[in-house]
Amino acid sequence: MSPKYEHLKRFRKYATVLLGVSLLVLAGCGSQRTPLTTLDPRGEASQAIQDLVVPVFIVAGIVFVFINVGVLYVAVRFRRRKGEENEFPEQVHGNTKLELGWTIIPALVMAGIAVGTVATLVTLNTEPDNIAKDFEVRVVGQQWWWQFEYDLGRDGTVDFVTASEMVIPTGTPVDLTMTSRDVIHSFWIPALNGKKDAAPGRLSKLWMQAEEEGRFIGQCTEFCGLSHAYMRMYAVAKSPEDFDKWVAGQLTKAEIPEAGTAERRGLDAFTNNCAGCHLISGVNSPDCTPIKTESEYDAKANTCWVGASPYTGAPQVSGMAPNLTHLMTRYVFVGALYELRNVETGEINVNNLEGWIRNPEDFKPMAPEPTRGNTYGRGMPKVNLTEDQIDDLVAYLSTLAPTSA
Amino acid sequence: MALVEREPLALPSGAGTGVAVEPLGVLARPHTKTGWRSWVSTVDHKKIGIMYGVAALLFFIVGGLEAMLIRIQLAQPNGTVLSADLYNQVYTMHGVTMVFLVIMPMAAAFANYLLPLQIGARDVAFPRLNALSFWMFLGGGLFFNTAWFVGGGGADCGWFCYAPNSGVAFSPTHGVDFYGVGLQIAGAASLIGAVNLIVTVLNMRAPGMTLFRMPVFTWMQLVVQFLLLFSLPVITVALFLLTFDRSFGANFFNISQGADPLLWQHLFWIFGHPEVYILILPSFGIVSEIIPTMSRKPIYGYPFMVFSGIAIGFMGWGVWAHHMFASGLGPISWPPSPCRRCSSRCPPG
Repeated sequence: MSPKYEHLKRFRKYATVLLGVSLLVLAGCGSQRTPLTTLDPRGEASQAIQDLVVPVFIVAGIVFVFINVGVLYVAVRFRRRKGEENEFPEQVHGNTKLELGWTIIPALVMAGIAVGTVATLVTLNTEPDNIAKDFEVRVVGQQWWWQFEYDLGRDGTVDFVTASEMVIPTGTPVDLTMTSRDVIHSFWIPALNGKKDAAPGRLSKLWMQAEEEGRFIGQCTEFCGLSHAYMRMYAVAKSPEDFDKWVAGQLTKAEIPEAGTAERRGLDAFTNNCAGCHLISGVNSPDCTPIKTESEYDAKANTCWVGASPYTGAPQVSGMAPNLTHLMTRYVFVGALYELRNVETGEINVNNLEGWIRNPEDFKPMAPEPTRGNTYGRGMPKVNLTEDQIDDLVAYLSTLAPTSA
Repeated sequence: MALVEREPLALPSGAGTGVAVEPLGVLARPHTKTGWRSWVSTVDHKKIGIMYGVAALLFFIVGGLEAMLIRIQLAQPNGTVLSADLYNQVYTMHGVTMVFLVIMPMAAAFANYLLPLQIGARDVAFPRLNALSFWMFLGGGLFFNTAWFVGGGGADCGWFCYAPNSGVAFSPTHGVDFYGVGLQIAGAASLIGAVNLIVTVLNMRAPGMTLFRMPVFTWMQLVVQFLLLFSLPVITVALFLLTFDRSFGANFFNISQGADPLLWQHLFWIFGHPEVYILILPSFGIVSEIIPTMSRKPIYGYPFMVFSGIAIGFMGWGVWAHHMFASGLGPISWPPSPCRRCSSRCPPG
């Protein structure tokens, strides 16, 4: 130690202990709930990744310890001690055998890791034999939420569309195809599988299997603008029976509420203000036959309730807004960021829903105004409804769940 | 009329040019040895190296302040210190500043100062080009940062600036335009510097200094300059495509007109991976100089060290897809990345 600090030598031991303890304490800092973790696999694919990561980490850990202990040992053992300042070290230029050794051995270790890595890659990219044959999901990312299009029967036609929550059955690998409507996003449910980019103009495949029922949170993992950090989704795994019930419910159309009720006024508010972007099957599905009176409504046909004013169908750069047909079967909204319904009780969070309609910018940053190069904005605009209209609209939206009809 | 030096530089061999000196008036090369004018007009590699270093440190302060803003915003969940838009700008500018305006010029500082000294040359091969390099880098860096003041905010696309998010439709403010042009200028500066240093090392070594007698730092810098020489043109092309898309209505990254959404990623990372070797190899060289000096022994295994640097330079070209594992390229393109990457770790290990 230099003479200036000689007097502090006696604190060396305490300083080392303090450093060690503080490191341990800080390591404990972390959120109690850390659901976006890759270290808790709940599906086949994520388990395969874990089965690769852990051995590689152990190997890396051994190398780490070996190298660091080696460096510390050499630095201490061969240091220049007092009285040796004028000794000239032996001028060794190298030892070919040693150098070959410590090149080849790591190469062999790396080769072993490469074998495991390639094997895992093959597993993750091979469609499992028992992949679900009766449906597939197209995942469409857009600024700044996730849309899920279900193709029952895998015949190329979309049967129903939902958003933010992707429901899958347990025990079966599900075929997912990713794409995007605007910029590149990336689909990531860490408990179930790795990431796959959702790029516009491209279809990328991913298979996902959940072993047990549950809600698995995910997040967009390719920077996509203002609300990239707020673009979440859930994979909800239900037992196969519950999944079939859910699918049957999703195929039903929305009912037209009775005239004179708050719900009916809400439906009118919807068609006047929201139908340009949001779809409700039975109200304004694409290519539908517009109807003006309830008597023309047919639950089986593709009709749209235009009521007092027609669906304008204005296109958006980001495509349509989330499909609201069975909004009340979901528990989250606004890019799976906010609670829509309580997960335990199912009670609707009216504050959140009203607040979102009243002023979306409060909830998440978006760019709903047109700008240069962009005729339409991105994200939910402020719709400027009166408080009564908002109440009616919420009343109507609260009815959007499958009925037994 | 021939331009004649007032005081010709001595050639490396020590001979003078033996040419008569004529006064040239305004065309005479600036000549001051002291004062601020001597710095602005210098072509001396040591002064240029110092200027690179000082500029890098000043940009380090800028990038460091941006980093502190990021940390303050992220200190709490749902922080409100920076709006989402401003945060995107701060983290983009921080990334670009640190990579292009701090580490690269800091490496250039050491290279400019030390390389001619290490090989026994009087100066670099093209001293005036060297000065141009520095001033272009400074100009590009300052231009990039003027986005804060006149561009409607800094670039907000991330330092990697993926298309189509970097297009006009999704990044309408001019920050990304400043990114494109500013990096173009700074990139050209590094390219010019690379040519300069390669010619210097290959042609101006002292008599008796074969390539395998050069110091390790010089070797690492030589590899770095070759990496710059071949990777910068790729980012140059990518930035031209981006600038033309944004400012002149081209459709290189316009998906609706049939562009491949992955084009930018490929171009950027073919540059981007050699870039990270460009960033780290000078430090490898410096460490490989400091340890032998302080241990008073020659570097252990000089040929292996040199070969490992060269191997890193070569192998780095094949692995850009490891920045694109989730892109949906398919499994055929992946194995080269981990295999080569791992094997390029072995020689230096």
